[in-house]
Amino acid sequence: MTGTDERVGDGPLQQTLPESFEEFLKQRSRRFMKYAQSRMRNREDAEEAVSKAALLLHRKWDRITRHEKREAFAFHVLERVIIDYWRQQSRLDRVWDAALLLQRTAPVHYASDGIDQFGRLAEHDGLDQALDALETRSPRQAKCVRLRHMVGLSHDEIAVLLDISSTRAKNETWQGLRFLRDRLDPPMESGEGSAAS
Amino acid sequence: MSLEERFRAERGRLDQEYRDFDDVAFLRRLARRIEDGTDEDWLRGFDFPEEIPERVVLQAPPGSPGARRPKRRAGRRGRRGPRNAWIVQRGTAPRDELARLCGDILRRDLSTVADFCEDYDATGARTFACLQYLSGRVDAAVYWWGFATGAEDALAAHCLALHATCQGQHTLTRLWNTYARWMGFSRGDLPGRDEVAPAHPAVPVGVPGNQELADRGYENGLPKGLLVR
Repeated sequence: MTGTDERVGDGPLQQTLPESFEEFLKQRSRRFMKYAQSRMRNREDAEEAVSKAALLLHRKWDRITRHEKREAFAFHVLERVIIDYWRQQSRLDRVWDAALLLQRTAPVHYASDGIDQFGRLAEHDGLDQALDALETRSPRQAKCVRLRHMVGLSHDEIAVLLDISSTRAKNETWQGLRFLRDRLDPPMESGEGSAAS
Repeated sequence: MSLEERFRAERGRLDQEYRDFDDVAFLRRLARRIEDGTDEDWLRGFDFPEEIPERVVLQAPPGSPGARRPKRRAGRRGRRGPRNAWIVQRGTAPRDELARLCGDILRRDLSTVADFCEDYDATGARTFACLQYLSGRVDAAVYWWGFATGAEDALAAHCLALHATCQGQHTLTRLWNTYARWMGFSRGDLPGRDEVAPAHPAVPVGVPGNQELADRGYENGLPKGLLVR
């Protein structure tokens, strides 16, 4: 069962969350979640990362709400939470505890979930490796490619999230794609190309 | 499959995954977490910028001329980019962690090398791989860890995950880590630190498990060069 299946109450949110914060997240939580999942490859991890980023934003919301580029700032916080998340896993030993718990309580479920997860990782393998390489070479290009081609945002929306111009977003996406294409779809031998022409 | 097709498939998967995403339910869960206050310690510990910058600075391409570097507290961050630190103990370099693990495995499972010699026992293969790794024969170690993993030795998969982390191959780390977990690997499988054998005079001090080597009559059975780091 995922965290999103959890049943929640129907009470008014405004008691805890400011209205502007609620609106802000309502409009962006899905795209943040998709982006986090494209990096973490796991829905539970993605929701946890977005939740933690939202908790941080909520804590400083009074100041953030006056910020001109709050969407870019929110995305920046999410990025940092994702990077920090694996360290957090190490601190809390959540992976190990979860694995032990699952082994003790539902070995069949654990096994099947493991197979599913392993299968999913295998499906992503080549693209993930290429994106990892791009992330090392140029983090901004990797972000642009993920946001454009995995989350499905327009160049204008990417520009707002990354606090760059729309032209720059388009250019970075194109360069990132070219790098990925060179890694995943290497060009044909020049001899074959000339023979065809 | 072309790059465009790969991305189309990825995007389709993500769209499918979040087709049923309920943002109101998400906000309710968030509100409950805020009310519970369960994340207070984590929130306090997070290095959140006190001042919101005028311009949001993203991670600059490493090595690019004139790139602005995001400010960080000294000693808090090791490096940028994705990493898979969850398999490594906090504050330990992956390379040190793997070397220590190999030493611990040798101390605990040295006797299984005999089984490996006789019938390619999986545990023995993993132990032999650790011996190779400590001897500096990394390619051989990776080969025998892979062999042991294929024979369903979860600890060998964990060794491969650690080795991939050392190499900065994050995708491989994820893969081997998932494989290890799938085979039921848990922390309980790690050898204990208290199983330290005293040094044997026939081999240099500091070589893990050399006392057991002597006890089991291996001092002449394995090349001495393999035992020296």
